[in-house]
Amino acid sequence: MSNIIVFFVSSTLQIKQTFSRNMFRFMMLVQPIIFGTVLYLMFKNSSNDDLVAHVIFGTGLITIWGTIVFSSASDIERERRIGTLKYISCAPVKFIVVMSGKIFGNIILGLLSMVYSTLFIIFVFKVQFHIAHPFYFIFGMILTITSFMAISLMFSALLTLSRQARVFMNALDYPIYIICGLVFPIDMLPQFLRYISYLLSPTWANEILKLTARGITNYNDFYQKLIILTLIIVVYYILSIIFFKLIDKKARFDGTLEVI
Amino acid sequence: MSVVEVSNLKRNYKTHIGVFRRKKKITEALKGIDFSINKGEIFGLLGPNGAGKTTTIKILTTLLLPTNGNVRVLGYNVDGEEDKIRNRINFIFGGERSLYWRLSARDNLRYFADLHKITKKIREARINSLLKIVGLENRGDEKVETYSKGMKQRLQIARGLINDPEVLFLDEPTIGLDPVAAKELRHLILRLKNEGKTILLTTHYMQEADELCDRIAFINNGEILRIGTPEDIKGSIEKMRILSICLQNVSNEQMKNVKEKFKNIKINNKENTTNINIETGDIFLVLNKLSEVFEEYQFLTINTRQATLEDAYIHLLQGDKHE
Ligand SMILES: Nc1ncnc2c1ncn2[C@@H]1O[C@H](COP(=O)(O)OP(=O)(O)OP(=O)(O)O)[C@@H](O)[C@H]1O
Ligand SMILES: [Mg+2]
Repeated sequence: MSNIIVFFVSSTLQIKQTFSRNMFRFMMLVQPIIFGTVLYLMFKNSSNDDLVAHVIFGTGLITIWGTIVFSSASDIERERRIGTLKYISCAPVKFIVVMSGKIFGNIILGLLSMVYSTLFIIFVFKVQFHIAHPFYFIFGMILTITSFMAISLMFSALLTLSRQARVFMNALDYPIYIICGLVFPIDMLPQFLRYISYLLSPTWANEILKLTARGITNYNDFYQKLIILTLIIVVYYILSIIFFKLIDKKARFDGTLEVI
Repeated sequence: MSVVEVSNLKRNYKTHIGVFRRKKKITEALKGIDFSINKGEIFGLLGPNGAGKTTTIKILTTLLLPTNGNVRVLGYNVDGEEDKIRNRINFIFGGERSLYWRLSARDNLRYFADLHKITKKIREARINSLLKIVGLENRGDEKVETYSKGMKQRLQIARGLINDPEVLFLDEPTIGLDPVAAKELRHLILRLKNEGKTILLTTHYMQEADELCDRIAFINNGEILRIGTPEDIKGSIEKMRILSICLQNVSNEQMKNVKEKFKNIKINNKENTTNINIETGDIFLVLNKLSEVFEEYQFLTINTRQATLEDAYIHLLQGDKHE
């Protein structure tokens, strides 16, 4: 019970704090317009279905990915800098619960931004928001959100553990749009990059959402994608739990819970 | 019963020096210290900058792991049984950091209460009483970023009490407080002791330590030099008194003479008066020696005082340096 409270309290706190940062407001309000416009210009001669798939989902996923990466990469670091990390990580409540709450807060902000970018594209570029399978679409969205939470949690742990990972992650922010096929199909990528694509949940979330919008022709293929995404989510969660155990040990061993 | 037991505690820090050719350097912050704290006691940890006080506190509060040795808090090992310790202790590090500046004091306290799994009913009542205790009851709903340094410090104190801890660790808690607030905090610390809490405290103010602590440990360079009651420690520099004499028209030759005669002497010149401070166990002997150097008319005032904890501290540390 107290875990659930802490989860929601942490997410509300996160929303309050994050939203008061200028950089974040820019990412939430201005960036989606830029991405939406660029993607629309790239695809404006395509069919309406393609516009939905590429422009609306593309912008939406890029936006939510941006907010999440931006925060998970820096949240723990920020708490460390202001000195609260030692209180959070050594509180009776498990650190992973607090972090999950924070990430959930980020996801809510990301979703708001996603809705905002979608409305922008619908009204400004007159793209019709047509979804072939509304039920599967909603299901796909829930899975997508869960998968973003999982990947965020995993990355935030990884980033805390290793400085190299942090550099890697910063370098990955933009390329991931390409690697996960958010901008153009991953079939156009070289083979070795495609292996990475398949390990990342946004790739599958993107494909699932596109299918629900355009229409599912091969249900077996669709279900297979759902199962793969679910498995990836489970793997991410298991890795996160392991990483968070390691964090507690390693941070206390190295004395890295705060900067002096 | 011992609430805190520390035996042969060692802690090393690994750091890198240099940007390009990075060399590893190991700092031995604690070189095998032993002490224990009894239930209901206020225990002071005193020592110069870099002595290892904060490191000790961090290990006891499960923020750091020992490199070596055995450390138990409330009977549990800090390395492995930290879950049993964490909700029964709390800590306060002096300074303005470690708060969410963009939130109000009340919201800060609520959040940390939730992290301690405190129910809403208890939480609200406790926050009100804590805000009153630290004198922030009228400012509790304002954002922390609008607070003065001392107000932030007081909020930290309230946070440290949010889970009604059995053991409280205070690292320089009065730093940055005005004299009245510092005095109030000392009263609060004594009140907490009377409620049966065990307290470990570090401070650079000797008088504060003298006033508050049941026992004191002097630590320097990661080693404990002495543990005892303030009286013991003051007594340990024998029946040492500080003799303070004011003289006039002291000649250079007299000055040279007096320096040869006494080892631990402090001299201050001011226009044509000279202040001399001497640590001694035998006042008559000193006065006799002085009368061999100076004329009677040169003596303006003669004062003696008991050695303070500060004198003991300086004495101990200097002794440590000479060795
Ligand atoms: N995270 C760290 N990494 C490397 N060295 C450290 C770290 N923390 C402390 N040290 C070193 O350990 C030694 C003890 O430091 P500590 O902070 O415990 O001293 P302190 O007694 O609290 O001093 P002060 O009175 O200045 O607060 C110092 O030499 C310090 O440089
Ligand atoms: Mg310190």
